[in-house]
Amino acid sequence: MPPSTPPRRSTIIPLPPEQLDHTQRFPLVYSQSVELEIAKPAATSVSCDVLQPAAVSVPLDPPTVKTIGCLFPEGAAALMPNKLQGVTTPPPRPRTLVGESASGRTDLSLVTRIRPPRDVVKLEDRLLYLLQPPLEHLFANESLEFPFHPFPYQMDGIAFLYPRQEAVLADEMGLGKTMQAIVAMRLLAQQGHVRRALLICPKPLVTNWQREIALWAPELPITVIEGKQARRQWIWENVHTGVLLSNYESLVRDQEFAARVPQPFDLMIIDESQRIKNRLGTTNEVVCSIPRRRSWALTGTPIENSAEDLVGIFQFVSPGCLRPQMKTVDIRKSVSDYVIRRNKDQVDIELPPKMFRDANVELSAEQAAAYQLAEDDGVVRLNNLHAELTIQHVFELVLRLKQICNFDPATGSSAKVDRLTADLEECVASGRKAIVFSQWVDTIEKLTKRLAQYNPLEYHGKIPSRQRDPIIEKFRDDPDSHVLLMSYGAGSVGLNLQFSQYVFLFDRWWNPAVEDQAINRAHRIGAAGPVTVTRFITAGTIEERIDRVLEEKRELFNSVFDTDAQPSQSLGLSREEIFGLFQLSFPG
Amino acid sequence: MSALCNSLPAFGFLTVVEDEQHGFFGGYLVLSELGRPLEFHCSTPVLPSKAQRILYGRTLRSFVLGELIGQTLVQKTQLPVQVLLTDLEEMLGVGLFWRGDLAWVSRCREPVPNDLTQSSSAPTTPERPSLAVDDYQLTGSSTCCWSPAALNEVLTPLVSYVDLAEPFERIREAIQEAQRATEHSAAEVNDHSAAA
Repeated sequence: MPPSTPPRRSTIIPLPPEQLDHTQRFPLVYSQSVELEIAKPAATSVSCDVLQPAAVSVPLDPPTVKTIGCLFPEGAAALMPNKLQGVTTPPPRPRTLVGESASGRTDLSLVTRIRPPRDVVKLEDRLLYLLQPPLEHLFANESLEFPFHPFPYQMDGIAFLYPRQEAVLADEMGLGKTMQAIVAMRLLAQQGHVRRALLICPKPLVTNWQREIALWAPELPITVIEGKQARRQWIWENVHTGVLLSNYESLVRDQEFAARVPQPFDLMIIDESQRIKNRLGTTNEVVCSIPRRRSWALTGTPIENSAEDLVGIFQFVSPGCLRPQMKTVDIRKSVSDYVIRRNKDQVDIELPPKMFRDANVELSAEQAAAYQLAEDDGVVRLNNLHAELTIQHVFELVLRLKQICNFDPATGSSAKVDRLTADLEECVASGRKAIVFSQWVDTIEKLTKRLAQYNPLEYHGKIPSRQRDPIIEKFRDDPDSHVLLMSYGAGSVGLNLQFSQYVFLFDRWWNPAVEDQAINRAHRIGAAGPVTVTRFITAGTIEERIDRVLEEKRELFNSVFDTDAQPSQSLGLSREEIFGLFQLSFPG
Repeated sequence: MSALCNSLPAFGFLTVVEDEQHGFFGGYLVLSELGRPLEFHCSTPVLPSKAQRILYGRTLRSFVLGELIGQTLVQKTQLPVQVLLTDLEEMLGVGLFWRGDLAWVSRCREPVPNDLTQSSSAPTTPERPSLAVDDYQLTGSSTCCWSPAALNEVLTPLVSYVDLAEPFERIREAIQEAQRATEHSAAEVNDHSAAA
């Protein structure tokens, strides 16, 4: 084996300096050749495939637009070929819209829109109501002219009635329920929805309704159902257009004809609908039996005594809506879409103020003696009746005592009259007019004698109907007639006596609603100035106790119609409370 | 169609209600010259997608209002109209699909005497016709070719009975009503499904 060759190493040995060529420094000259071994560089291949970019599609299909719609009857009729022939354009009319401002621009916030009632369920029907022109435009389009522009709240009332088959217009007295009902009826008649309407009101108000219809809907023919039975029957059966006007008393007599009319009335309006509050009464039964398509009730006092009153009214308006013994909160909820009620504080009208003052008078000596005797005897007698004691007995005593509070039966002495005379003196001296209300015709007749110096007029149940309107006209027009003596029964509803500035409640009615009705004969739209209401109360008597009861009834009313009020737990005047007027125990 | 247009005195009012949550609700009302409703259609809400918002940008509203909603509603309607009015300028895009007279109604800055005989033809540019009627300025789109005098004549019977802005209020209320009804129906269906 040959000796191994030592690895060859390259050594660079510089030349000695003497061998260096000094003429040049470079390159170095080496004495030995060098063998350089240069390693080959490693070759790396790089893959350069070109990637395809990812494509992202963004769908841009337009969203699908679904539609809901309807062709209304008038539009469908317009599409019929024969309708398209000869379509004529009515002449342009001058713009006289209620909502127009002085600049001529229409303020759209001032127009009155018609909204569908809750019981209209079908969307197409609801849309038809919503898409109607504002009420102001409808009036203008139908060329309906009025003696004056209704107030905005009255327009709201008309817009409320117009679409409703079932409605109660329960505005406070004096806000124009009559006019609102007439205008709504007129609009429906103009559009062909009402051809024949029936209007029922208390007998004393028939002439008032005739006058108001002539004023607000002069083109509507009115037929008063009166006269002998054969004539009334003929009217019920044969008058097929216009407004038929009857009163509650006459209607009860005509029940047989009214319930069998050949066609239902397109609209039936009952005024002072509290007349049918007793759901078991004959009047209620007769009114409810009349065939009709629309049922509207007008009342300023939908609740007079208890919430049950509303049940009776709704038996006519919307049978089944209310049930007896319903809770107040449930009643309020159930009637909310049927009833519209505004009071004078809520509406934007400048009605003069109504000022109350309680005239607390002390009984005269004669009255006090008579009163004490009557009460003592009466209570003793009531107590002696024991189990036979009825509410009627108590009422009789109350009435007896109230009459003594007015006049002493023996001497005619009256502390109230003395006070009234003094008040009237001031009233007459200032040229004002006053209405004095009493429960009794007898009291009114006595007052006529005692107030003879003022030449008072009488208006009560004993005055024949045909003589009543002239009395009101004389009171209004005769500058020497300053005092009108009225009974609550004859004069508390429907009359417009806004030219009176003073109202005296000589004695108190059982019911605050009736008192309010009476007061609002004077305090209503058109009132020329403040109305002063004087309520006579004799101190320490049954009148004071009744006054407390009246306040409780007001509380009941508010619990149903005032949304802010909490329902009262003590509703109405119970039998126990009536007996409690004399600290009597309710028998049984 | 044109024969009907000539003989039927009907007027179209087209608008949109915008809702942040649901999108755009369109409504189209056809009125008689007395202002009575003849036909009505409204759309379910249209909510543009994010991509559409990005891609359409500033033209999104005119696309949605005019090309989507307006076109659909007008095509759905049976009754021909003499003129189509809108209170939204972006709705003028309907003119791309609808051949009749189309105008955008806006309030004049200054009141104009309300006697229609005093209606004046406002300065009209060749691109966009314009007309002043009552208190309103009527403006066409650049594709419109109506003449102010002719449009004035067509509108004369209508404006004597109807305030030109008022029908749009009706449409807005009707859209709300339809929306409520739709939601109510949907809720009922859900309740039934849940009960089942």
